[in-house]
Amino acid sequence: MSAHDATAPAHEVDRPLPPIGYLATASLGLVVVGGILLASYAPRVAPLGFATGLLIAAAILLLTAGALLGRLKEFAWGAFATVFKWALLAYVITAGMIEFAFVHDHTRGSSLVIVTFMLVIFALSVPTIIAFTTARYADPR
Amino acid sequence: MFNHVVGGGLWTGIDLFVGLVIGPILGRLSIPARAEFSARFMPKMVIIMPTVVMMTLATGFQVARSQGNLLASSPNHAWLIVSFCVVGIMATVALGILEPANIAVLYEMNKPIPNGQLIHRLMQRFVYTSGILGIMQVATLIIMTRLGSR
Repeated sequence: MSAHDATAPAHEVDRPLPPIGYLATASLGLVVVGGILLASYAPRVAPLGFATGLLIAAAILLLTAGALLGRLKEFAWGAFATVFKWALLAYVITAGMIEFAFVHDHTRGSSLVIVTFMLVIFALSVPTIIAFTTARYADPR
Repeated sequence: MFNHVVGGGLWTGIDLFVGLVIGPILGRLSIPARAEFSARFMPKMVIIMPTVVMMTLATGFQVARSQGNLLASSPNHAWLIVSFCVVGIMATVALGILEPANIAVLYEMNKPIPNGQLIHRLMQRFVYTSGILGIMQVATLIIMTRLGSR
């Protein structure tokens, strides 16, 4: 029974896959918390140790999601690539605008470096979640 | 300030209009009709909503900065942090759950024979996430009214 079959139960096309979506969402959640932390201290300098910890944890989660994704065999890579590239374009523009706002508000030095890396994770995690959610229900053939 | 208020009004207005008016109408349409509507509606929403949200958040931060509300000594500082947290929850729910489900539904609907049960299952996410986002919208309105009236 193919995924295109209108009578196919949802669980048949919802194959058991590693928790890639959850990991990427958790990664996104951590950079959002980090962003709130940095913004709540503005214009003062936020405690960078905690923000760095959040950034590292988010990076580890996203890298784990990427590694699990790379090990998938039966997966609709065509659908994943199509959705990922357009979502990436959109979120790179969004992240660029947020970066501009921080630079415009005179964020400099270590804080700016942490913000930049957080935005890189943001710009990668959201397209990963969107593309994975779409591709997991698509026909792998 | 003008852009922040207009952006916030548009954000909440569009969210409520889509959730309370468009959503129930869409739910009663046949799958081909839903697919045709969504295929034209969703690409526009994917452009409009992030732009409106970004404009509202960016201008809101600048307003808070220029009015001194970001300073720890400001009486509004605590309320501002609460609003950051509310926006953070909304962003995580919208970007991590709602938007992927929307795009997966759109992708499924564009197949020659869409899987109705799968679409139904993905659409169930709307019920939970819309509830959370609705509560957060109300919280934002309360916080912004409080900030604006002090």
